[in-house]
Amino acid sequence: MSSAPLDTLRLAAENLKRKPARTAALVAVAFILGFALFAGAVLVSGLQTGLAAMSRRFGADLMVVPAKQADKARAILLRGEPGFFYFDGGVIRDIEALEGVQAASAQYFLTSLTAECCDAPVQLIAFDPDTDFAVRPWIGQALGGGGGIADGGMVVGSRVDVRPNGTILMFNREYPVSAKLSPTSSGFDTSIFMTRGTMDILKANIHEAGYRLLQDGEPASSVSAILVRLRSGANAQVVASQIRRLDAEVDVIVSESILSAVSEALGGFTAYIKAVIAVVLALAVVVLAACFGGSVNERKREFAVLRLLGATRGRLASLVLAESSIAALAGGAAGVALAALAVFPFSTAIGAALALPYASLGAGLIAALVAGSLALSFAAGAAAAAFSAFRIGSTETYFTMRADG
Amino acid sequence: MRNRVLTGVSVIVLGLLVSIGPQSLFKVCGPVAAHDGAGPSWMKCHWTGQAEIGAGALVAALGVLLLVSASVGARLALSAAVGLAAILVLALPHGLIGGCGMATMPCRSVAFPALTVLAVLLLALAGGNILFLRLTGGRHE
Repeated sequence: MSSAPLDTLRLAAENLKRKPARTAALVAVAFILGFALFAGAVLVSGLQTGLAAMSRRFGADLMVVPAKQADKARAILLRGEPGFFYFDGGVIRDIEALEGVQAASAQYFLTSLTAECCDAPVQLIAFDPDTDFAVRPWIGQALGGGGGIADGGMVVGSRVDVRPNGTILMFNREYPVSAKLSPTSSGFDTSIFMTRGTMDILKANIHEAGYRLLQDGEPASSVSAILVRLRSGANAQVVASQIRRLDAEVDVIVSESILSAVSEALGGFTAYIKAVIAVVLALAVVVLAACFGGSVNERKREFAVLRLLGATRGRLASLVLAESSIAALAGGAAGVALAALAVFPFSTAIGAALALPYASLGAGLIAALVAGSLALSFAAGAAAAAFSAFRIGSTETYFTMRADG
Repeated sequence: MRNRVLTGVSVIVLGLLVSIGPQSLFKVCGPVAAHDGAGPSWMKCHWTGQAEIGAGALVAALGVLLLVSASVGARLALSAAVGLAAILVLALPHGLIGGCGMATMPCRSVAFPALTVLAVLLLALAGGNILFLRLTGGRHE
């Protein structure tokens, strides 16, 4: 026989072991609570982090694209769906001359072939290194404060794999990768960036390899998009209208509108998750309280005997609280573990299914969310048992024994 | 007996999921048309899926042996083998063979995460069974 002293925690653990069905029910409720709390918190934090990363990377206030191509351009920006379109880039000089415009820079789009590089077509984006203000700052950051990239080198998004020799394969030829960008939760993560000079080298190599491009007939002045940065205080909608008046063949995407639409969709979804968490939390407290209420009623005689053996009312109350806390913590920890197994490996699929910017979380934030979820599960268990503990503390042993005959 | 049935059946089910999942439930990527006109070609993840058929069948076979073995020593050894096979299930997509070159592809976003979850469950099951058998010596079945 064990000689360990029968303290409150040990007695609570023995009580839980003695009633496996009741304990399983309590742990199951806490499990559902832990799962909902942690999975919900990770989803909400991932979406908020994703939106923040996306907002930081939208370096341009306006994006000028060919008429009727705005939806395609949004798909490239938000989801990285490969695409290309062209218009005459001569309009850039008129755009630069507008009063509210601080800078403008052209980009040129191309898509890779399916069965190379990344096993799927990817968006190739060429920028003008002399005028670019949207891509180079991030490349500089990825290169550790260095300048830009030289002609011939490429920079890949965070979700594009680089070959072990530090290159990517494009149209049967290897190109060195200068840097890999940090995640942005946008289409940039599956894009490959290069200077316009590199794009010209790439096109020449494609022709040399015997391939022909749909873009071959395009004049040299063609561009896919003109990114515009506005002066402080300039109204984006007003400047967008001015650009549309300059050239009827272009459309203008306002970054603010894209971000506010994403933010609105994200706000609705996170509010829904928070509501579900609140309902699960309230239900868990009610169910746990009902479980403990019923169990305390059944165990009146047991508590009366413990009182007769010298246990104080406080000791009995702490016994009930300890039982609830152990069950809540065990169930909560199992729920958090399973939620982690369900949410973290599938983060890319979750982001794609939600069609919202979703970013992976840092270790510090994950640790904080684990601690918060466990603390809330623990608190729910304690809160649910508090009323029962109070009732035990306020019942006279004599009356309990007499009532039970 | 209860422990034998529970662990044996669980390992068999998980093994079958590893084996048939990448071909049906959580498919790896399909063939793509080669740009040189040489006909469709398979991507790397297809071969990971093929290898997982064998790895999953091995796990399921170990589950059958767990189900029929009465000896505690044999079940300890079989549980360790399940753990090692789970590491193989995990290593095939995450190093030994690998998958497509972009994280958004179906193999990388769904099939490999599902295989990771199955491998973690197998490891937990094997570890839990070893712990249970070591602590109880198979007495409380």
